[in-house]
Amino acid sequence: MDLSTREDGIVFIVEPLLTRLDAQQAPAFKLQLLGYIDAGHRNILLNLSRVTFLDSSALGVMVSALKRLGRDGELKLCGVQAPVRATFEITRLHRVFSLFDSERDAVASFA
Amino acid sequence: MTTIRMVSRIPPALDHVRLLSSCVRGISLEFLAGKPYVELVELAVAEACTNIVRHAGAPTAGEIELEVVIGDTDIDFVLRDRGDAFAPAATEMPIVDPNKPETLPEGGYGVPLIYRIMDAVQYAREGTTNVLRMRCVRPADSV
Repeated sequence: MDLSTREDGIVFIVEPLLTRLDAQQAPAFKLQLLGYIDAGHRNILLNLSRVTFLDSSALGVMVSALKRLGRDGELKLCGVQAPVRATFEITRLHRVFSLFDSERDAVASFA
Repeated sequence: MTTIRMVSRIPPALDHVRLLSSCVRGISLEFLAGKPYVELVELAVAEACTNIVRHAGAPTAGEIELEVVIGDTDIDFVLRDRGDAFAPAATEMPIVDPNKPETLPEGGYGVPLIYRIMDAVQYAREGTTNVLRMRCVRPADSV
């Protein structure tokens, strides 16, 4: 799966380079995201600005990553488009993940 | 308005689900404009298709058929497959406690999403065929 990664201070930014995060992409997405955590990254920002479709499989990957981080790290999201935000709201997972409009605001929140 | 009926069929594989999904997106934006969460109608149908691929005995399920019936007041999205009987259960959203992330379920969001997005959902086993009917009421100004 095509993911872009970069670091901004203490924050490791992961950006999917596709518009659709679904059940077909979920296994590779999970492998890569958990791989970053296992490699020692603890402050992870998922930039979803290109993603217009996100299904329950992708939600499950994010929950899995959050649980892998446990109390030792944070997973936050930015660039969440309206349909994707609605998915978080319907599942109530917007209460669990911090959602930011801009990457800059999200990065600043880790400090 | 004359009722419009469309039928599409795909092999029971995840890489084909997006094709049906794209059809549903186009229909929704055209005929359900103004409906809250209209973009998510595509998600509901995709979740149902993914369930069929994963749980209904694919690849023995045969093709997945999507029938869309566009009427004056509502749109029916009807999925049919010949896999194992699979009535969508667990229609309640999993409990999410933001203070206990370690207890968060990693699955179980798909079927409740379908029920929240659609106005009515009905499953039936008709002979050897699973039939899942999902109805969206059309906003008055979309008719």
